Amino acid sequence: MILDQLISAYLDGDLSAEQDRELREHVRRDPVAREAFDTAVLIHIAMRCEDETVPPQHLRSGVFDAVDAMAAENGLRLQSRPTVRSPRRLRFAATLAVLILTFWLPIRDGAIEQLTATAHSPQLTARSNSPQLTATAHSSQLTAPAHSSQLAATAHSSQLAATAHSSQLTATAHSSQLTATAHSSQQQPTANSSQLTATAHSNSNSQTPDIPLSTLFGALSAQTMSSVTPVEDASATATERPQPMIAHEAPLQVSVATTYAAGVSSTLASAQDLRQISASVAYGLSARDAIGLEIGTTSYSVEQSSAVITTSDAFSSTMRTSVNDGAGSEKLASPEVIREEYGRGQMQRTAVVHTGWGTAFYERSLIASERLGLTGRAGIGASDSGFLGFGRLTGSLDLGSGFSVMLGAEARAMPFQTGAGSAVSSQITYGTVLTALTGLRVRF
Amino acid sequence: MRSKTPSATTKIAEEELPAIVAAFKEGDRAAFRRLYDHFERPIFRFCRHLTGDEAMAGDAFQETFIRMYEHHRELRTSNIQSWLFAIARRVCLNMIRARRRSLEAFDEDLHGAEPLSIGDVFLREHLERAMQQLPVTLREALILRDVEGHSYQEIAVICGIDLSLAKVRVFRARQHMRRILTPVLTERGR
Repeated sequence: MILDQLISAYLDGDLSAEQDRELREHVRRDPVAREAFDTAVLIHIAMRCEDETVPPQHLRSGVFDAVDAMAAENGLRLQSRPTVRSPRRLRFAATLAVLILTFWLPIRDGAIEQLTATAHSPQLTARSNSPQLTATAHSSQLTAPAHSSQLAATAHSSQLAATAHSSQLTATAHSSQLTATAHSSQQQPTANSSQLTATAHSNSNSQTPDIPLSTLFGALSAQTMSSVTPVEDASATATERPQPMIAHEAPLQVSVATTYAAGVSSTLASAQDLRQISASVAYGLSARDAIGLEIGTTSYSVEQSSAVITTSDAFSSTMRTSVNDGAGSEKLASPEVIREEYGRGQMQRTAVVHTGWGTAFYERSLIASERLGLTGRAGIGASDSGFLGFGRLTGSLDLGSGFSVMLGAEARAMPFQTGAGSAVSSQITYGTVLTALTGLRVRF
Repeated sequence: MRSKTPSATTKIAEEELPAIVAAFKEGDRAAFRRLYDHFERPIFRFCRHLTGDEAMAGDAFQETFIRMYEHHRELRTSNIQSWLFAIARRVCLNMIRARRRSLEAFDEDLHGAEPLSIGDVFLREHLERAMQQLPVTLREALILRDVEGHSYQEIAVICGIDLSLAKVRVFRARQHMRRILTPVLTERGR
């Protein structure tokens, strides 16, 4: 070990017995080493020498006055705005609620008053436990089982399978094959196609399956399996040859959306006036599901405070603030001006913070009709200040040619640069912000 | 670590400290005053050594305690001493940076040659001057170790650096100090 390391270890009291011997040997044999050792020890002792300097009394009174003022101000703030510092669990619960809502709605198929599903894709599966389901498919296959009061399923495609455990089933197919099964009181399958299979499992005497008269073109198999009343009449009509598919679009879609969001509520009192602009690219996995990336910038205003010393001593250079003298030029404010303006020991100012972020998201279509839609989106990602997550519900209006306008709401948990400016308190604090957003989307 | 600050009347017993810290975290001003009395001397000494300027040290000292109270809810660690020194360090560094950025011409009388009034001792005067010649990163490590007697682990926490880097900085600071003061001490010895 070199001499300097030995000396430093000696000053720390970390020398081993062997190192101690080594250092003594250096000092004994080498005058330069002895001088270095003596100097180091002398400096060390001098630095550790008791320093009885007491802070001046005016510093003490300045600190206590500022703290008293701060405590009084905090008390007033808490009384007037009790939600300034909402509990962390409340913020967590709000975020969790939005995320659950985003996922829960699509998972509970059709738990709404009315579900309308339109598909231009190879396969549409629409399940509904809601009072009414209308499913229209311009594609190769439509499967629509319903446990609801009314099911109307229309297919302009090759195959339609509609099953109802409800009071009424209307199934119309302009395609090659129709399979309609009803466990309910009424069934009206109509086929203009090559094959119709209609089966009714009615269990009511008074609600015999009613299959209208029809002319068979192609193969028809109409059968009822009522356990109480046998079918008296069952026929089907097929007046035309099977129609070709009207539309068949690929399920994989790419959309670009730009949104502008404005904060309506924040759990952090010190971070307000949130504005957000984002752009996203989505890749449709199916007619309902998509994944994608979203990037954006968020800006918000932050209340910052910094201590101002109001004692009789001269202000340090950090407290000299530039002010506009009204003529367009700036000059240093005099200590008297600062003292008068911020005499309570604390200076408040508002700063705008900009932060960039990027997220990966999963999106699901909750409701879709010809022009209107409702989608839920949940994403997680990171910003330059930390991790973030959001849940978003967006309604859209199709303008045609792939364009649609969006209007929605979002809850976002994100890091805010809050606190008192320059020193230790300029830190990251997580908060939840609710925003209203509007945007434009283009599907390719 | 040596304990050198509080007088007998203001010193907080070790077993008493957790309760006072807990009360302070709830915003208790009486607890804050107890902690102020307990830490005022080491914090003032640290600020003065680090800034090398009495007026700036006073500003930094006040701001440190004001911020301490302002952020009492954010105290997570049980080691309030490290937390407080970390605040003081940040405040001092910000003030030093602000001073460097200012358009003021460097005042040799104010910032350099004038010794601090901490005792008319030859060695101490030169010690103060030598410390101000150190880079700030080395200076703060040296003060925390050799003046305040913090452990290397505490220095690492306060400065937000690795333990090994804390040791390196103290080692280099001692080398610098010895290099600066050797001619002075040699001259004095003659």
